[in-house]
Amino acid sequence: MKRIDLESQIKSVRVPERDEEFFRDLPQRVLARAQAAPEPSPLPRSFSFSLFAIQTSKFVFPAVVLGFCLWQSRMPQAAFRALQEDRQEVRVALAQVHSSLDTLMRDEHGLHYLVQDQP
Amino acid sequence: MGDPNDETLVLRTRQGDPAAFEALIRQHQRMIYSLTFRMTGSVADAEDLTQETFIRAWRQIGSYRAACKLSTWLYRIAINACLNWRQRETLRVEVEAGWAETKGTADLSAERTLAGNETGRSVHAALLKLPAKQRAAILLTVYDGLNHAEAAEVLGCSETTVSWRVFAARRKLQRWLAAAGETL
Repeated sequence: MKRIDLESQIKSVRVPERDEEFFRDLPQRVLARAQAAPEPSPLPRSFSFSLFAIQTSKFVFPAVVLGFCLWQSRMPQAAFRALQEDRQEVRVALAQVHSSLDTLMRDEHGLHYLVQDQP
Repeated sequence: MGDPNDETLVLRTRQGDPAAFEALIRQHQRMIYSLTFRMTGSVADAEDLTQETFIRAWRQIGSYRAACKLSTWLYRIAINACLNWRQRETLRVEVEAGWAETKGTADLSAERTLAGNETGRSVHAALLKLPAKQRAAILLTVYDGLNHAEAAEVLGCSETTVSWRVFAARRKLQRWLAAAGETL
């Protein structure tokens, strides 16, 4: 079917004629109804928790993910900084561990004496 | 730009002159009735929708901007009224179909009043089978002679969307009418 044929067919659809009475009375009827019924005030949109949650989650979820990533990326630095600040204490503790181990290794009978001293 | 006569009438309507609005209705009522009939296929519904279109126009006259023609603005209101009607109608037909099934009645389209000869009826029946938005697009562009930009303004969508709807509607109409044995 050619394009022009389809257009002419669509245009051939006739609209049934309305009697003049309808068109004569229409403006009066419209005005009577329009003036009788007060203009409806727009209804406030009802609060929908699910809609609110969906809307909010669009922003909150990416923010949480971003915050988590930042926190993850900063955590090793924070641990390293804390280690540096306390390095004096860490060095002392490590030295004590070494000396304690040394004492333990040399004191072969220490535990034995301790057990013997028990009543 | 709008018709100077229309603009004067709109201005007077805004100032609270009912006679001006009455004159506006008289100028455009046949055009709106014609559109609503072709959208619904029912004289009774077209009458109701024509009335509803002008009532909405009266209430929204403050939002009319002279940048577009008054007829375009009225078309938009009428098309929206028709699309809303379509949703209500779908629901009503479903309810009636359920009722008819229980009652054993068959003809749900008896109240439909299609005008014209047999070919015209076939074309109109095919038009009514189209999705409402595609029907609106093809009626505005083919029957009312609006270009795609004007139709897009009426339908509240892009020109590309209008073009697509017209294309899809044409394809369906050609297929349906060919299947119905139309010799055009």
